[in-house]
Amino acid sequence: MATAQKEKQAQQKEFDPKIIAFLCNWCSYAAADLAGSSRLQYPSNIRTIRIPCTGRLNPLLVIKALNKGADGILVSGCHPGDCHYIDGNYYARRRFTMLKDLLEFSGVEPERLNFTWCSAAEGRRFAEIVRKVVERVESVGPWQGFLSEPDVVAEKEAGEIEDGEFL
Amino acid sequence: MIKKLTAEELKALLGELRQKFLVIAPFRVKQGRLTKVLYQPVKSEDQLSSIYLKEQPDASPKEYFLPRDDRLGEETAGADCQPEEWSDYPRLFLGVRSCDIAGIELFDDVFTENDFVDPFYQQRRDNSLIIGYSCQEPADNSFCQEVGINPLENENVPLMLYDAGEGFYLKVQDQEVLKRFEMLDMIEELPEVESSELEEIVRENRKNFSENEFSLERGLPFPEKEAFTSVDWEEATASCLGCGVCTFYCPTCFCFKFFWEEIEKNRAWDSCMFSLFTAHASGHNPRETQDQRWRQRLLHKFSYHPTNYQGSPGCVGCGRCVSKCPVNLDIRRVLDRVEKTLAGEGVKGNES
Amino acid sequence: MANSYKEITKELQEIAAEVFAEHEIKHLVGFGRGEFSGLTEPVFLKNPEEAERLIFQDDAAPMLSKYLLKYKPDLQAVVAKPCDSRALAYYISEGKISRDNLVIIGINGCPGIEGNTACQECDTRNPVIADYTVGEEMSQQELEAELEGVKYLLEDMTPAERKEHYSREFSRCTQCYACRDACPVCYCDHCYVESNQPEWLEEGSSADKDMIFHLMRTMHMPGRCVNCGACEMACPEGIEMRSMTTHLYHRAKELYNYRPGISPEQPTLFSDFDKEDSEPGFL
Repeated sequence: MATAQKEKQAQQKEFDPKIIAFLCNWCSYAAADLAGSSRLQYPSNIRTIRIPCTGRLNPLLVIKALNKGADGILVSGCHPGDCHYIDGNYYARRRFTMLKDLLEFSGVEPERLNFTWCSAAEGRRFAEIVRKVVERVESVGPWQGFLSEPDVVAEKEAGEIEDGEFL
Repeated sequence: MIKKLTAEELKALLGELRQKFLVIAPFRVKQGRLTKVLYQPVKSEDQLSSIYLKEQPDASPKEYFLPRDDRLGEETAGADCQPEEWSDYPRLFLGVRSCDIAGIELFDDVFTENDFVDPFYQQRRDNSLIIGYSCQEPADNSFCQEVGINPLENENVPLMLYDAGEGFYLKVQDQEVLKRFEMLDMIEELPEVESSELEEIVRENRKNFSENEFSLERGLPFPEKEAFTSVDWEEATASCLGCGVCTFYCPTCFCFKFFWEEIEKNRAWDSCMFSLFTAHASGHNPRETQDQRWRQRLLHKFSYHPTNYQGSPGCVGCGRCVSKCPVNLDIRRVLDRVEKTLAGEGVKGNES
Repeated sequence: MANSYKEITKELQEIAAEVFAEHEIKHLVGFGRGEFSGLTEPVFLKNPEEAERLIFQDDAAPMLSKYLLKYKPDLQAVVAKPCDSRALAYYISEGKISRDNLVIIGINGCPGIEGNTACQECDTRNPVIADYTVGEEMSQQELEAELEGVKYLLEDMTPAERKEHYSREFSRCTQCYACRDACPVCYCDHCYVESNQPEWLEEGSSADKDMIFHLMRTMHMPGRCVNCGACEMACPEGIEMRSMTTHLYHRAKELYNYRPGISPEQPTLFSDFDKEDSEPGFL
């Protein structure tokens, strides 16, 4: 095995992603509970934030979470049709599609943005989701922020000076 | 003392001065869809020939004296808080026009007044040498002469540069300052000429500054109370969007705000055109609507500032606020409206 | 065929007089020439004698629809570019302003604005709502022919290239928020930018914070942005930020067949849903 590859592997082992999970109170949060009480194993990389409904999650919070240094995001709500508030997750679905699209367009890796549905009875599925999300985030490495490497930018920051014989 | 030098000689002089100074000069800079003329540090000898003096720069050099984002040091340092070291390095500004020089003078009035001296500003100012530049023709939307500024000559800088078409004239106005920066010898080496040669050029250029369509009839300051109440500000400034670009590009606007990053105190530009500028923590905002903010901006420049500083206007007539405004709201039109209203109200003009 | 500025100006002046005669309006919002600057600026005409001040020029970039909200209980007339008319239709669909309070003079076959890249990919060249129109309508075939092969901004770049592009562009942002102020569909009384409870944006200027501002602004835009390009035209630093909103504009069209402000009756993108909406990229 090449040393570079070895190094990469070592780095990946060291990388312990921080994932913010916005979980709907009525389903995914309960599923996380169920996974716990059923003694299902899943990685401890997620930091759970309980929200009343995915429809109530302000998309700006996702941007803010990444801005504050989260390596990945998981938003999980009730399956379409099962919303406690009848249609909150239908609204959320459009919003997240647009959010995901915008962030991916501007250079955030798709692996960091995870949206899914998980009912209160799906403890096993929840554990699987978390495993999958952690794997996805690990595959793209630590989050470096919304901007490119500073040195790429600094060079051109102030704009390009036009050469010419003006003086 | 008037010196004549060719473009090559000027470049050579600047090259020499680069040993002593960080030379900051206007360049044409490509920024997205715009090409602007901006003050930037000269990074290499080759860049000297790209210095662009022909047009009024898009922004005044004010951000070199009052940076957009000024780190003032850690709060724990208390009163011992010192300006950062980099500002010790002497800086030379080339090609600053009369309007921008007047803007810096206004900053001097405000930031180094009596007991209230801003050490950060003071240090930057003391380490700066300005070479003025004589305008050849008026910039777009400018009205400097209406606020008492002479675009062709300025006595308040140690050196003044005049473009003579072929070559330049350099007028030495303050030898003491040049001595302090140890650069008098360099200037004295240059060939001296008669002042009549320069006067001829100035006279010729003066012709380009003929009568302005806009004129300010009334002396300053504007009568505060009457202007405040009798002018229909809402009607005059209805199209304002409140973006504050006028104040950011204004050579005399100096309003700032403080904020903290962890324990580090920062100072950043603020603008009276923003709704948050006057918002209270209670939610009350004394200047609730955009026309009230406009009233503040205009009267600060034409009433409050002249009242506090012996009649000197808070506006240097560079015209940038008009050129930069996304809706082309013209301060001259608003001034015109104010003057007409005041004339109608029968308020006597202050003879100055 | 797009109409000429001259023809439009001439017709506008004629129709303005008509509007003043037929309606009891507070004012007519249009474009006029600056008294001293000679630049095109928004004007608020109060009486029919002023009708000849109206012009339409290639630098008539500001969106006049923005001003109507300021005086909305009154009957107002407005000169509306097609993009303006879409913004107005959007206001009506959101209940921001009543159709009965508007007299809209629409510009048919809009010739576009100098320097505005949005005009090159404009898909609405005739007003969607209007009481009066000037100029000849542009046919659908013509529009389609003009749009043939037009690509929207940064479509061909990779995400990494775009990231670098935005990093560079936003490093120049001075936080004047003129993009927001000029935007016809940014009309909140209390913008998230000015909110400090919660503090969405932290104080201070760094490219990082500016990027957050623009991402958050853009996130308010899907389903609203009418792709007029006013944000970019207003930017004093020449920052290219329209590609973000434009991208979402096109995505909403692809995914939900939704175009903001296309009719006053249309529900807004986020106040509506379809149970069969696709879930691209969901786990």
